[in-house]
Amino acid sequence: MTGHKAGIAKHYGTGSAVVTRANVNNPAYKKYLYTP
Amino acid sequence: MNKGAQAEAKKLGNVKVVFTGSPAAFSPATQTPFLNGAIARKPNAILIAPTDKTALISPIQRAISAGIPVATVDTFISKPIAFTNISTDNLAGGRAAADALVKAIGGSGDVAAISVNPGISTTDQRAQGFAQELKKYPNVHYLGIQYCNDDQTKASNQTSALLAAHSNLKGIFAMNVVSGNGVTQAVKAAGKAGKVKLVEFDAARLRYRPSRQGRSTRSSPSTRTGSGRRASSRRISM
Repeated sequence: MTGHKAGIAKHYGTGSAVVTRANVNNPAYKKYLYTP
Repeated sequence: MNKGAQAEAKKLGNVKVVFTGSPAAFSPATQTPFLNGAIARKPNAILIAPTDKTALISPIQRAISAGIPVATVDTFISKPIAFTNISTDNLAGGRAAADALVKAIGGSGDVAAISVNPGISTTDQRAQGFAQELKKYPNVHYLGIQYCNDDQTKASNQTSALLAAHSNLKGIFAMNVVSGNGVTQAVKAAGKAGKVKLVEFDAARLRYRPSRQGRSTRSSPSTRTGSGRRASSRRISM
């Protein structure tokens, strides 16, 4: 491997949320929607 | 993911992201030629969402052996040869899906699941978390999982068969967008929108539009655009 890999973790979590009709317009949840 | 990676690369200014992949199918047979093509172009790094946790080990190893660092994004392979993996917690997502579905159906009844294919890291973990969590609910009977091969028509047919065979079917967990589209199609066609509840992973905005049939949907999506952004940032660190 070339370059610098120092500081790169083996895994990064992207987070998740349960989105419902009640919260879908809340920006904190809306950002999780799948956009093809 | 491509959108997120492109956006982050533009922000960084000194990274070019070349996106490649088959829009036709999510399978090792269709993905491997694209990976081989990417290796031939000798990029500084490869970001890949492996379509199978076992079948993609050798192709990814070829990239690494050629001196190209590989990061897996969204999905992963079972051998830890990628220098990093960026993904959501799919086990927790599966558990959250079970809790949401049980709540939506009122705590009792039959539930089923439709996934893509066995062997995909993300959907396998979603299925595992879902099945584990359902054990906490003694009044819920799990009919098991069916695989639609990422084919909306097949998912729809499977759902129609489930609805016909199980009159007490109250909820379905669709483990990706395509299977969710199939489930929605079949439930509507059966006139059971609003009666059979759907929880879908990776749900799109469309799912939340008001429905004349009163369908209730919930979702526990991962953040694919976010995955791309993170991957692009990691790549510049190499």
